[in-house]
Amino acid sequence: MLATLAALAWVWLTPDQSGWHFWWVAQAMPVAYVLLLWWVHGIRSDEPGQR
Amino acid sequence: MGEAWRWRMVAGASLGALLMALSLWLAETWGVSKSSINVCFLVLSIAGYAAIGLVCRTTLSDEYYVAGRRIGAPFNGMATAADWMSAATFMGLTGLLISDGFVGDGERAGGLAYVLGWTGGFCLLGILFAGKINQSGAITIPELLGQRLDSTTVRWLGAVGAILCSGVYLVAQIYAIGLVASMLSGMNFELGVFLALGGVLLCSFLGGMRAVTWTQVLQCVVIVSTMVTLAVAVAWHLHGSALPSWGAGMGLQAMAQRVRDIQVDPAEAQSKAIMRERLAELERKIANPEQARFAERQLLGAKIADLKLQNSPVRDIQRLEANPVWHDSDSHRLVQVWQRERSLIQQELQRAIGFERGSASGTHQGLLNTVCLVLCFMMGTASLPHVLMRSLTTPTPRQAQQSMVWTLLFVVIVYLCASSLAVMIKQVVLTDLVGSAMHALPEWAQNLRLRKPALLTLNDHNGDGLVQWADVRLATDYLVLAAPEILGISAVFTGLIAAGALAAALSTADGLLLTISNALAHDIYFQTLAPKATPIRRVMLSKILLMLVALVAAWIATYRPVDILFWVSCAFSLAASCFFPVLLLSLYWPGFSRAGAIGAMVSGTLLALWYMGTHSLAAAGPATADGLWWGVAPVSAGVFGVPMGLFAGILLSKIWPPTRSAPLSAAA
Repeated sequence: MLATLAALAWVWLTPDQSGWHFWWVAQAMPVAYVLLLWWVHGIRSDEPGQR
Repeated sequence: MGEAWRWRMVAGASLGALLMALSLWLAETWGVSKSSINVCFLVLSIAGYAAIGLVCRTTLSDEYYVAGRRIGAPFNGMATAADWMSAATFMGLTGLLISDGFVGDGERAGGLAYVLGWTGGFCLLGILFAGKINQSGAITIPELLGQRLDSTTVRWLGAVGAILCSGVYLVAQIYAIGLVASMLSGMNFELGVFLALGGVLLCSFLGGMRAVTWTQVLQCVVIVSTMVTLAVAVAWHLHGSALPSWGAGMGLQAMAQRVRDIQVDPAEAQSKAIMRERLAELERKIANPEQARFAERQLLGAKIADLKLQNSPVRDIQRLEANPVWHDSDSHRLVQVWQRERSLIQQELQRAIGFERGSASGTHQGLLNTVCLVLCFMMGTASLPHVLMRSLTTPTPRQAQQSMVWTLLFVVIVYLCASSLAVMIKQVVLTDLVGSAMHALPEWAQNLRLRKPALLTLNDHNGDGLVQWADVRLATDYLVLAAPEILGISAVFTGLIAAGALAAALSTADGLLLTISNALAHDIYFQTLAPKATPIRRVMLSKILLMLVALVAAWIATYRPVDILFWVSCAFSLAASCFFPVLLLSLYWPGFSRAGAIGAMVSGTLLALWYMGTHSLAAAGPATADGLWWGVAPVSAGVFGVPMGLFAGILLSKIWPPTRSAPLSAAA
C-alpha cells in the first residue's frame, strides 16, 4: 500500500506529464503485486496448512 | 472427481469455446450475417453455463454453500477472478481510460486509480484475510463474524451489510447483462435482462456454490481469452506486434505528436471558448431558474410558431419541443437537468486529450482523489462478501492464500490488456475521427452515432463542420463492445468480446446472488425463526430466496441506473466501510468485543452512506462539488468510513471489553 502511494506521488509530481509515467505505473505496479503475493505465500510455506 | 480430471474438463470446455469462435469466424467468411453470429455467441455461451449448472445440481448443504470445501487453489483462483471481474471491469475500465485517461482531469481520479486499487486489494486479501477466513470453517462471512464475536446482533448486522453492498453491485451487473444481451441480439433491454437472468438462475439455483464455482472457472477462461485475443488482434492490426503492451507503447509515442497538434489547434480553442460561454449561461440559469425558464419558453414558443408557419418538417418541431423547458413545468427538475449538463461540459473541458494529466487547476486535488479511490478499492476488494466467500471453498488455509495469487494473475492479465486496448482505441479516435468533416465521418463513427443507445455523440460547438476533440462525447460504459468496429477487425470479435462481457457480468451476478440469498436464509431466517431446520429445508429456502432476489434485482435494473462504474465503485466503498474494520480487528485483535464490532459496522456504514447520499445521490449525478470534505469524491466515502469504523471499534472495545474470548478455531 505504501509502495503504491509512493509510486503515485512520484509519478504525479514528475514534471513530464506526457502520459508515459502513468502508463508505466499502470503496467508495472499490477505485475509487482502478483510477484509480491507470490513471494509472501512462498515464504509462509512452513505455516500449518490444515484447518 | 480427481484433480487431473478437473483439468481435463476445463481444457475440454476451453477447447469447445475456441472451436465455437472458429466456427463462427468461418460462418462470417461464408456470409452469415453479423447479427446471427452475435445471437449464436449469446445463446451458446448462456447454454454452456446453464449446462454446467444442470450437471452440478445439488441439494447437499455443504456442497450448496461451500462447494464441499474441495476446490483446489488454481480452480478457486480462476473462480474468484471470474467472480470479481465484473462488467465494470471488463467493459467500463477500457471506456473510462479512453474517456478520462490514467489520471482523470487533474481534479477527479482516472483509470489508474481503478487499475491499482482493484489489483492491490488482492494483496491485502491474500495476506490479511484469505487464510484466516478459511480457517474459521464458517459458511458465510456474517456467520464468521457472529461466531468469532459470539453475537447474533453482529451476525445480523453483517448480513444486512452483505445484502446492502452486494445488492448495489448486483443491480449494476444485471443492468450490464441486459445491455450486452440487447446489443448482441437486437431484442429490447427488458427482455435481454430477463433472458440472461434465466442463465444466471440455472447455474446458481440448481447447484449453489458447486455449480457457480465450475461455471466461474469456465467464465474465467472466456473472460481472459476474449480480452487477450482482442488486445493481441488490435496490437497486430495497428502495430504489427503480438504484444498488446508493446503495441500500446508504440501507440502512445504516435499519439504524443497528435495530442500536441490538437492542443495548439485554434478550432479546438474556439470550441472550448464556446463551451465556456454555455457553462456561464447554465450558471445563470441555475442561479435564477424561474426567470430562465420563462425567457427560454418565450424564445422556444416563437421559434416553434415560426417553424409551423413555414410548414417545416415535424421532426424539427419535435426536436424543439423535446427541450425540457417546453414540457416540464417543475423548475427543480429543470435545475437538475442543467446541473447534469454543467457537470458534463465541465468534464469535457477539463479532460485530457491523450493520456496526459487533464487541465483542471487542482493538481493536488487530483492526486488526493486518486489516492483516496485507490485506498477505497483496495480495502473494498479485501472486504466484498462475495469475494471473501470464495476463501471458504478450499480445503486448507494455505490453498485459500495460494488461490489469491492465481486470482491476481488472471485479473492482472485482463487489466494489462484492457489498458493497452484503451491506448490503441484512443489512438484511432484521435487520428481517424478528430479533424474529419462532420458530413464525411469514418464509417465506424457513423455507425456508433446511430446505435441505440448512441455510443458516440458529436456536437459541433463552433459550427466549422469539423470534428474537434471537444466535440466528441463517448459512452464509456459499453464502448469496448464497439472496439472491433472502431478498429476495423472481423465482426466475430464483436461477438467474442460480448461473450466475455456477458461472462464477466454473469459470473459476478452468480456470486452476488448466492451471497444475498445465503445472508437472508442462513444468517437471518434460520438464525431467528428456524434454528433447528433440516439441512435440506435450509437449501430449499436459500434457492427460493435466490430466485426472489434475482427477480427483484432484475426489476430494479429495468429502471436503467446510469453509469455502471459509479454504482460498482459505491459498492466497494460500502463494503470497505462495513467489513474492513470489523474483519481486521476481529481476526487480529483479541481485545475486540461485540460492542466494538457493532459500533464499527454501524458507524462506518452510516458515515459512508451519508457521505455518498448527500453529495451524490441527492443530486442525481456522479458528483457535486459543494460541501465535499477536502474535495474527496462521494464514491471514495470509504476513506472516511474505514477510519470511523476502526476508531469506533477500538474505542467501544476499550469501554466494553470482551466478556468471553472465542478463538477462531472454535468458530468452526
